[in-house]
Amino acid sequence: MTLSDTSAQQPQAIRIANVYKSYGDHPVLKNIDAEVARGEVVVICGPSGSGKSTLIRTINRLEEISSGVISFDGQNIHAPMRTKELNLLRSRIGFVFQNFNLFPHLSVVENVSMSPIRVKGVAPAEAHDKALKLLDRVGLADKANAYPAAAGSDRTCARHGAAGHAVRRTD
Amino acid sequence: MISDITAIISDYWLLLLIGQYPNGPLGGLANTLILSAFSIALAFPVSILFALARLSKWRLLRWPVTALVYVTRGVPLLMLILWSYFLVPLWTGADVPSFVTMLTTLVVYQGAFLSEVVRGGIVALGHGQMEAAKALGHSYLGAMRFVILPQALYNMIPSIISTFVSTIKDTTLGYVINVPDLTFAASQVNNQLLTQPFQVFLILAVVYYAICWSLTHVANVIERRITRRRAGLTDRAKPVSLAMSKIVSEQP
Repeated sequence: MTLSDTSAQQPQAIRIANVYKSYGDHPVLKNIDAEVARGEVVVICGPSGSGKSTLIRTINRLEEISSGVISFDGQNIHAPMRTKELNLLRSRIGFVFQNFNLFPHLSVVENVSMSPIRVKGVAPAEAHDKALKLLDRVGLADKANAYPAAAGSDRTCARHGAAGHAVRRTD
Repeated sequence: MISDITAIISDYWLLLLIGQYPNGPLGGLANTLILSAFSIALAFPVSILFALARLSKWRLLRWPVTALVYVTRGVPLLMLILWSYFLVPLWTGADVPSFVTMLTTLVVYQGAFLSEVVRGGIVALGHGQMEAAKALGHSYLGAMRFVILPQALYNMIPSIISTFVSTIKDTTLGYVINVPDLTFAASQVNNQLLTQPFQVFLILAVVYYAICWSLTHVANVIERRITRRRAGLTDRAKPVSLAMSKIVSEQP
């Protein structure tokens, strides 16, 4: 994948254009346009039920859209593509769930390193080292071998989730 | 009474243990254990495949397996055994050994029951874990293998073990199609003695109880070990003070 080439032509990491989505007759997203640049931090706020989560979930295609274009690094996410291609694309988009959805059967470090190993075929030792470095950055290195249930608070989970998703940004 | 039992055991232990072997087919306890082990070892993966087929979005997979599960659950095992024993040779002309007939029937029967347990475990996990796995780029099967099944199967250990135990007990039904298992050996002993059915079948009951109890015990040990590991109790690091770290909560 020629990531550096496309990002040179496309300064925006995420581009949302004219996105429309409805559940049956009930429109949820009405002509949304937005751009997120590389390294930019964007906050979406609004009352509950206004479609914030739905919009975010469309960015890695956990939700389908009715019309419009969402592109990530210049690649149209909602274009017809093979599942394998979509999985690879998703593996490059960080995503922390509202309730984190950490995997309770894996230790903290395994939660962070599993997807690089299983999806991208990174060597386990290498993925493990990288995961430990990222956990250290969010101050969780001491809990690397604990399991999520024992690792502590919601805030810990959030930092953990962030580390898990940062691991993919380093490619 | 007890002297009767020890006398029966000392006279017939070899028949109860290995049947007529080496002068005839392997039977007795050995055959019961082999039949049980094969049934469980085959029914378990079959049940996972059945469960995945039942949850599949493709009707071609979902419908036949659903029909199979419903039919199998609605028919007594004894009936299925007799059907496969009499009908398979009639239809195919093949001479199927009764051991194979029994094994196949048990695998399909227990596989169907177990598949509902596995399916229940998967459905009970909810969408969150599957979505999280997808967001990480896992394929459906990858998510199942690394995220969903390890949790679903662990949660279902008690029900899975119940099904395993009932599989072992169901091997006794092989007796009706002349599978020379422990029950078969015991009834041979009973036919020779004629006057001590209570003692003979008490031995039988005790042996089955010992096998089934051992399996349950092993499962409990495994379950407890996994639970302790996930709760972080076997972690060598100092126990984390949960009370301290629970102060901040950003989520409702």
